Amino acid sequence: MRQLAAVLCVLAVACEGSISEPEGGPGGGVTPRMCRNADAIVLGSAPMRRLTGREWANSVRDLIGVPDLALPEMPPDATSTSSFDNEALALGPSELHVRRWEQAAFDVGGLVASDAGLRARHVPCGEADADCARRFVEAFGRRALRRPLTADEAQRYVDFFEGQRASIDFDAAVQLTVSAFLQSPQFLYRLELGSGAGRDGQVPLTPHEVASRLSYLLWESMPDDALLAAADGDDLRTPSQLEAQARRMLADPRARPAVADYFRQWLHLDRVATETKLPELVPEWSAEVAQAARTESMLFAEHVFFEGTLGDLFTSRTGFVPAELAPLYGMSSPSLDVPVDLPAERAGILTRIAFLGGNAHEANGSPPLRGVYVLSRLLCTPPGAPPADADTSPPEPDPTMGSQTNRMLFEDRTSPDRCQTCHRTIDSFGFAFENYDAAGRHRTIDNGLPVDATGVAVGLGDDATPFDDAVGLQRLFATSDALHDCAVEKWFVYANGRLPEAEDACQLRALQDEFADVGGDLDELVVRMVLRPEFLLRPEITEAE
Amino acid sequence: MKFDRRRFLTALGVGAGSLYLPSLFGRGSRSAAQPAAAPKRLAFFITPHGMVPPQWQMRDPAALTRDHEIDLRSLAESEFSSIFRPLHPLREKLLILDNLTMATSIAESGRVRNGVGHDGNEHHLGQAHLLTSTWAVQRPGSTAIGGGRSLDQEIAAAVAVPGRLASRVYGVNHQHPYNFVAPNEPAPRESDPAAAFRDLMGLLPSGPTEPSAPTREDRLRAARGSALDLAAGEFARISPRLSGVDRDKLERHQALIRDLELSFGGGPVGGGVACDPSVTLSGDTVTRFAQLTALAFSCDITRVATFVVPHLTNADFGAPGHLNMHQDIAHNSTEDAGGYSAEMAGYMADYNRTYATQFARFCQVLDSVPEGDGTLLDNTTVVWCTELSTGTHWRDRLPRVIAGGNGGYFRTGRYVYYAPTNLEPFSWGRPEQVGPAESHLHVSLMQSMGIERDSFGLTDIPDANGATITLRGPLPRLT
Repeated sequence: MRQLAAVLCVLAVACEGSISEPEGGPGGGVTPRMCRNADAIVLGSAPMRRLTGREWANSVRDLIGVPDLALPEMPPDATSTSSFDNEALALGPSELHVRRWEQAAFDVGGLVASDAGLRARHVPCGEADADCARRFVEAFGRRALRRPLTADEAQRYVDFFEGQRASIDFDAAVQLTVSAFLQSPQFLYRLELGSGAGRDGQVPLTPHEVASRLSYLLWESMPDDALLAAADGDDLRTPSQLEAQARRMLADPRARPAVADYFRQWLHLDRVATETKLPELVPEWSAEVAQAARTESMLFAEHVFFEGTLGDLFTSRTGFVPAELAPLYGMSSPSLDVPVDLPAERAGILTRIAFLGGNAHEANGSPPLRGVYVLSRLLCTPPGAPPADADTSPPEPDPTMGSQTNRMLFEDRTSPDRCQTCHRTIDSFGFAFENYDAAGRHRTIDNGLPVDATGVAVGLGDDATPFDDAVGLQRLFATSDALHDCAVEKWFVYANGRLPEAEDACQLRALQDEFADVGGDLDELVVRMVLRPEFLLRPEITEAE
Repeated sequence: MKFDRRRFLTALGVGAGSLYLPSLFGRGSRSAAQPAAAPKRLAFFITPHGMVPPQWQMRDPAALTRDHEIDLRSLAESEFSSIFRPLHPLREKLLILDNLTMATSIAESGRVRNGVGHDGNEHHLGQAHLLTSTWAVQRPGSTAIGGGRSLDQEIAAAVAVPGRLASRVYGVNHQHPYNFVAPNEPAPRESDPAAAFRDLMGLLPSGPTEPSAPTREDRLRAARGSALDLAAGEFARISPRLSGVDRDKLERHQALIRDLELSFGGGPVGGGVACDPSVTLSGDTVTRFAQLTALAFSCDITRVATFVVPHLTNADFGAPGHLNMHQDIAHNSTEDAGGYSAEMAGYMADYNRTYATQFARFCQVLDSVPEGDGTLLDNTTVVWCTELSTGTHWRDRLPRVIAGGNGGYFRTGRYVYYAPTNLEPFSWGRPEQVGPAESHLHVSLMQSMGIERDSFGLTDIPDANGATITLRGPLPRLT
């Protein structure tokens, strides 16, 4: 028993209690921050961003103009379930990446050289034309590097092209030059070197660097021709120019998968995809069902982003229900393409199968997992690391106690004071979802007894507020400042590729205020982020960095 | 040691300028520079969750205060511990180490308790330290992630053959990565054997080829190195304009590109007496990755590999489906656990034994490849490790098994017990006498691969009384 006594001491001073998996949620969010001068522009760090696997694939496809171009799969980028894929610190070169990028670059180059349509599109001249190398290099290079080439730079690629043409042939020169562009640092990384001299340690980005900030934020891909043209014309400078571009890009179909992908990460919608359920309890569960649950929540979140507000994310009954999910929702007919209203007991993202089935055990829902999820991903207040000896198994009913609900079992489990330090808060949220079982099916009776999903929400505002069930709890979320502030912080982390820093205090506060002003309109929030003065700046690069 | 590989290239006289004299006839023909002695290789085999100490340990219970060892070669199968029994056929090639401590990880727990860092979760700290032996990256709102280049990457960088693969990381994600190319920068891991195989294909010898005039394809292939050269030049131009980790990344990228160029210069194709490029993968995931590792090692395509072993389902080790492996079984598998039961300890041991069977199979695949007077396994060190020592989150009394021995470098056929030496602030705060730090094993592994270093990661940590525990020097009694 040597460790147990010590555990008790630790628990007395720290709230520890999350279960098995760290659920910090992408971006974390517990840096102490205070804005001292709201009018000052203070910059946090601007780490160089390597393209994520997804950004790389999107960029290659957009660059070549073949949306369904087959590309090698890249290994996953996220360090853990509590980080976004695009966290700059975790993204660097590796032997594996460099080799797969090379192979793909060579293959794509071959395609451009050999496919008549692509050749015509990307090589604006023929072998016999004078200066064809230069015309090709300048046109293709500008799109590949997301900015016009400098004269020296263009000359290096032209020399390379002519060298390969002389030693092999024109087609080889096209193929290898494309390949070289796709392996250049300007393609694989987002280099923000800024333009000209800085002032007070701040450097304005070039218009093309701004264009890439926009396109990777909104599309997870390279700028399109219109955006590049705007950058060429220095038309990404004023708020109205930026706003027009942001709105144009949000209306483009490319924004939709990018937005859905953001929610996939923030809300950890992948989690459900690998969940299994006891077949004797949930015969309708399968890998396909789990996958469909993930997709359904992504579609719903995407819909809310474009059509609604953060509040709608927690109150809307709109669903896109594929055939696999209809039985779990108790719906007689699926409706994937046309949005339908889910049954009345379903409102908001937290009454969907992805969240409920993803944060559950095989046989029953897990109030602690669901509560920790709320705290860390939605309120940006992740509980501390779990104590090693916490019994985190699903509690087994004690036959001598008579019939007990899942909630009663968990209440009994976490009743000791040392557990309550954290579980008072965790479970107050977690029990709200007791109307939904391991697979997210609705229930009013659990183990023969009526379900109790009532609770008191703490941490949403000044007062502890009672609620009846998950629908009621989410109604509180829909108007909670704490939740809105957290949502802004998550977007901020995603947009900047890094955790918040002390220097971000005023910018974050301002965005949170603006988000409140626009009533929690999510696409409006993204537009406001683009309109911040910080969006056009980076801190000066110094040796001491 | 950032540019060891590039320095190596420079030392060989293969700087950028000399790379692309298109040696178009070299491809496919065996390099005359093939060393006579088989190269040394290193593989990590990582399983999660720790083990059940009484069921893997084979120590002499009457001799716990002194170092001792057991001759494994003379033991009958029934004399092996219950968990390690599947390893019995390999006993002559085994070195089982009893009572090492993940000292740096435990020390970090102490720091977190004292307010340095944020994440004290033993799984996370175990995962972060297992191969790095250094302080994790700790940030508010994030979990602890490996804080330095991991041992496999460090060794790989030093022993890699230019133009071939420095290392491979195969398998699944247990929770957080174990392998890191830099702080918080995981080494990418391939979970699909087919994709992993494709990564090797271009480096496999294609059989003897008749000298003939180079085709367009040959010239195009050689020119891929030139495209890389152009890209490398762009990296060289841009990196001085950045600083800190950004510059470091671009410089590493440039070095990787320079290395890859060699692949298209005619010299890098693997070979070796035991290399059989016609091999096809078959069997379960563990077997496939064993075959891949054997292929990559025997053809000298890489010399360092890590296999992060897939999770088991309850059915794999015979536990009832309703039990949660982590929460029900692992957490209740040692007697100090609140919910301890012999039944759960039994399931945990079954779980460990199933992994022992997989480890044995992994080693046997290597052992089935003849090489020189022995086998591929004889010229390889395979290290089985876990991020915790028990399912209840201990990090002392680590179970560690070495198989192979790197051409006789390690004296195998032995079970080696280390008496407690250090007073560490144990995981939950109470000082405890624990065995030597695993950091010493890391030093031994580096030295076994020909790297003359006397430390890896942290060089010392405070003990429970504030005195210093040195982490320098190899682990005694291995060679």
